Amino acid sequence: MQKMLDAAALSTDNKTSPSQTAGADTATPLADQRRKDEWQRLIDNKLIEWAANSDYFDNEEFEPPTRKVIHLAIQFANQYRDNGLPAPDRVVPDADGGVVFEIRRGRSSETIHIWDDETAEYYRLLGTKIVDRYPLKLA
Amino acid sequence: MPEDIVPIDDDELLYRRISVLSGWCDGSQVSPPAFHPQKHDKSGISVFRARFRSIESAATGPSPDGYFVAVLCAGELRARGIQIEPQPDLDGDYDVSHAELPQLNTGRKKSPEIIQLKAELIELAMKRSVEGPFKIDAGGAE
Repeated sequence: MQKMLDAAALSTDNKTSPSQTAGADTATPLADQRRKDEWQRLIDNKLIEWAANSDYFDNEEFEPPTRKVIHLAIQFANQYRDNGLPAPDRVVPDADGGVVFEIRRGRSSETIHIWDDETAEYYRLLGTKIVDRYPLKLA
Repeated sequence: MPEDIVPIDDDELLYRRISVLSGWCDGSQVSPPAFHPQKHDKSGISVFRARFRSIESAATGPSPDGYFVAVLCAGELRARGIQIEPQPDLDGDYDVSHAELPQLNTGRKKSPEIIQLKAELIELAMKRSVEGPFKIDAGGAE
């Protein structure tokens, strides 16, 4: 699996991690297009939908993401899509005004968390333990 | 603890409501925001005690698409260091079924401990069960 970690690394210092070149299907145009399509679906069907419909979460008891936070999440998603990185399994509000991108594979989970204060960070858990965590910035 | 507050036994089941529209649960997997403290969760996130409330009642709320309910066991939470406290006083209203997980409070929402506790809660809920979705109207469950 090419990790979302790679996406985070790209956004912090433009490093290319080994797994970016080691993945069997990472170099094929078809796989690259599929990833971009997955990102675009999440952007269109979730993030833009939330931004366009200010009443989307009106009946929910949690605080929905602000327009600024959604806009920031779209910027991150656009960046990762354009870099051909794997799309997350899900994009959800974080219950407190933020947005969460999540990939889960077995006992490993990777999260890009856009917080309500418009900061962003990456963290990876193995089981229930954090094994990696750092702040993110747009390239 | 006041006399009228009933302590939570280790074998008690607890319900955590998860809105369907939020996307935090798809019926087979639960996402960490399901246990994320909100701004009003200053003293911890809410759970309901099965001893005093049915699962259908715990699933009642304003979300039009209804709710899943994650089932947790008090003893299993405590075994992992997750505290549970009865909290029947809800801003003047009294609900004997209401309890809180005080470590998961909004003041510490970015702490590594909370991120890990949310993962613990997901593991425990998946091990026990996630029920629903329940779509409750004024007349009862659909």
